[in-house]
Amino acid sequence: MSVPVAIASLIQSSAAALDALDFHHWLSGFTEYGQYHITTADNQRQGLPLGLMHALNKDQLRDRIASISSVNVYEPHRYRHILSQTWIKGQGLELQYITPFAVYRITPSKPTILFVTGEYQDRVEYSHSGVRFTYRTVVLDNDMIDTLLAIPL
Amino acid sequence: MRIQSTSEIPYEVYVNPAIYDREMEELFQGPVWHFLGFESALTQEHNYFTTEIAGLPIVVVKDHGTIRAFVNRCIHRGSLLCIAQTGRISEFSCVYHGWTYDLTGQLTGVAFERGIQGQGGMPEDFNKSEQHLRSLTVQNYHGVIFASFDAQIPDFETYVGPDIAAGIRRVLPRRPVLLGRTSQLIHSNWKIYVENNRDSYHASILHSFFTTFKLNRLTQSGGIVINAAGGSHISFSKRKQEVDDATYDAEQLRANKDDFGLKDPRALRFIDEFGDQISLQILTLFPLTVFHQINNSLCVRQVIPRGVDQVEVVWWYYGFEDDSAELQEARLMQINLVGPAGYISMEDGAVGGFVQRNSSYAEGAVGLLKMGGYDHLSSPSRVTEAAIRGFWKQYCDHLGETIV
Ligand code: FES
Ligand SMILES: [Fe+2]
Repeated sequence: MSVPVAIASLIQSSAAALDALDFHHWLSGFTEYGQYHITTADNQRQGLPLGLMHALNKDQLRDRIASISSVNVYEPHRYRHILSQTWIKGQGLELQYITPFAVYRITPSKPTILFVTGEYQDRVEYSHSGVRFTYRTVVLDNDMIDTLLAIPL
Repeated sequence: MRIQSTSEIPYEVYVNPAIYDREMEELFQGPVWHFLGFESALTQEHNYFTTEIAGLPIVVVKDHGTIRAFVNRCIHRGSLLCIAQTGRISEFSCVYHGWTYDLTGQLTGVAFERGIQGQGGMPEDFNKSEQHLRSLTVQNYHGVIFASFDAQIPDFETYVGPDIAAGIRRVLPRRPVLLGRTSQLIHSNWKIYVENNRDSYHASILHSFFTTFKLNRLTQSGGIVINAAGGSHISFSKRKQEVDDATYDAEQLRANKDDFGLKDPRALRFIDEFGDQISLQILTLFPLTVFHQINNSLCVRQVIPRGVDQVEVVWWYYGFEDDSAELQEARLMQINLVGPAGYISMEDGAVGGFVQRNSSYAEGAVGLLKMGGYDHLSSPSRVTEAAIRGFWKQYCDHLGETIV
């Protein structure tokens, strides 16, 4: 089964939006009740529920964007996502779109670092206005975050 | 280099590798207690997990109900003994040359000890029964495993004193279970991070989010408790008991962004699970452990120095087996507040690096710790740097005022 073009392009444009710090566009990729979680492979394997971010709806994602845009203090930086081919895991209600990624972090006047690697585990929903994430889990390969994780992945 | 006063700390202390070496050998392997993990990780007999103390590999194992900890190093040529993070073993067996140890750390087997056909083998004077893994003193305090390299160290409660012990028991009413673990690499000397945890002055200024949502204003009722040794402390505050909001607003701090509101404030919910209205308790243990309660987020932060200019913080979030669904949800939601990605704590990851970058070649300059006077005593005010001075007092008691 091949990945529908609309879904592949949702995943691509979501990464591109973050890389461009276009959070408005990034938010538009989620349904109103879309969930977004960031955790680590270790926690996921052990069935531990806590990770790094935990949003149960789009309002909580809006709060994340508002907080990092106007309240939190950190050195300005941006990401560069390198995505690998999306593939399909499971079927029916269990179906997930899996996209492995590497994210580099670019901070002015510092060397660019390989920030995190991992995979997206996505579920989506079609509506008249297009396809959107209903459930996106970002699973990081490694436990360690360099300095901080402000901007979503 | 000399620390002449606990209120004037030379920046050199954060950058000099000779100081770091003394800390590694004399401070961390001296008479101090370290966090190793939760007892609940060792559910069965012969379960083990590996961890670290200040970069030294440690293995923790349960044998006949007793929890033991060893330096995870074969006495033959120093290979790691246990390589996995967790597992189950009936003996330690080294992969390199196959030496074996029982779970008390006693050497039991040497491959080809007598050689082959009378050739080779260990010399006659080598006696297995005299050979042990380097073991640590272990104490299980309310489900949390602590250890020390010092066999003579006073028991954990005596070491921290009655007030700090009560603060720990307050957040450990039942056996803690791990809810998740993450780690954060901070580009500063470890002491800048552990000072930051004792710095009640910065919390509501740097962390705008705290103040914006009135989670921890310095005007909220609360206080600082510092133990007699100086290096361990509690900073706490209570919810909904504003002493003087006007003082705060008059200061017009950057942190007050009253136009900002959360669309979904669930992340800020506080369930008074300990029944004392205390919504924030930052508790530090000298030298490398922090317990936090921020609303219902409960966590042990394990501080691991990674060289003179880096420190790793491992966040061990916990809850209890009998947590209600409501409490469980609160703990999950609050991951958005705390940790490497937390609205109210992410700044700590960056600010240490800002200090570190200024610490090299500081022309003998010192950092000032005079807020709240010169003492390191408990106080109802959190507008003080007393707990940081207390850290330096205990630090000098261990290493002397003349560090190198
Ligand atoms: S290093 Fe362990 S047996 Fe040689
Ligand atoms: Fe802080």
